[in-house]
Amino acid sequence: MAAILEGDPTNQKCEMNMTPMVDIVFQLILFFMLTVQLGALDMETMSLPYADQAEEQKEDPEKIGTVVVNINKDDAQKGIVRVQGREYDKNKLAELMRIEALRSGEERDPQFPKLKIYKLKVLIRCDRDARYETVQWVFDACSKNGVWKTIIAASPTTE
Amino acid sequence: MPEKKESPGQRFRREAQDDHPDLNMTPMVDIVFQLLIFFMLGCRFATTEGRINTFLPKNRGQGLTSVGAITLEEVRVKLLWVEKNSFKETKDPNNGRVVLKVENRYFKSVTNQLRETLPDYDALCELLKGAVATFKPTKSYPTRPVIIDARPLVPFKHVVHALNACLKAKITDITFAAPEIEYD
Repeated sequence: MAAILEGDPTNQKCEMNMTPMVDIVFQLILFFMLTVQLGALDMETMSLPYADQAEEQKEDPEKIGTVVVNINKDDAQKGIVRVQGREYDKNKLAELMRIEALRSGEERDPQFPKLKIYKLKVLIRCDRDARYETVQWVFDACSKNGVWKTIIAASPTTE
Repeated sequence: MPEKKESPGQRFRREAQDDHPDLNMTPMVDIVFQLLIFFMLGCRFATTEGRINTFLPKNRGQGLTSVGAITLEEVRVKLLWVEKNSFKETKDPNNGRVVLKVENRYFKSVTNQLRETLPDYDALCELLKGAVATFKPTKSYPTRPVIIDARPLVPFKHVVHALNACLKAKITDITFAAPEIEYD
């Protein structure tokens, strides 16, 4: 730290030069501004199950929206899931799936021409120790509303 | 020579020229620290997270077609919630354990590198590989179909382990069994 001595040597003032500190603080701000992902609020922190066959997330070429359903262990016992921080029970989730499916757009399958199926993708992020029954009714909500593309989040490493 | 005295106007002009307006940096540093704390708390470092694509049957759930009959080609992987000291199924969430069963074979439990005691999913993978090797493709079933039938009380990690074992065995036709409907 630079010390500037002023005035009478018997009455010296030692001033701290703040300029380098402000520079470093600006550098830190820039770093955190660039790395923060404010849009990742729907990816709640949880312990995902381990699956070494899980693939890394790829960019969706069609850029179709994905609904992220988070299932914590405690919420699962209460029969609740969270989407973008909001709580949904079985009926509310089915309604949400219906709305989001309609928003994503319909697609046709020549094998089942009369069926209404949609482009929506549902990403299920479930805690490894949560009961499977909650995932079952998420699947049920998807199936009933013509949503057939589901993705399960898993950790490819054990760390 | 007598010193020339400065008039008040001249002194004011001199001081105005000599005075450099100083910018008080203290509030700026305060605000900068506030911003720094905000972004530090909001920062989330990327974690490794993988994805497993699972496609639900298109023709189920909307009540348009009935559930297909069980065929001989299917391999049904059952994850049961049984009592701790027996193989009898239970609905007690606090007193049970997970048992892996395929046809009439129960898989023993092993301890993995995370010191968890789990059914032997590696043995399941080997069994599925054998099932794939002996499978004769048909028009209805081009690949060996597998159904994962897990009870509601089974922790989700077991379902993912079973799914992982199927993917390791190169099985692509994987279906999740619908939950059982209880009749009162």
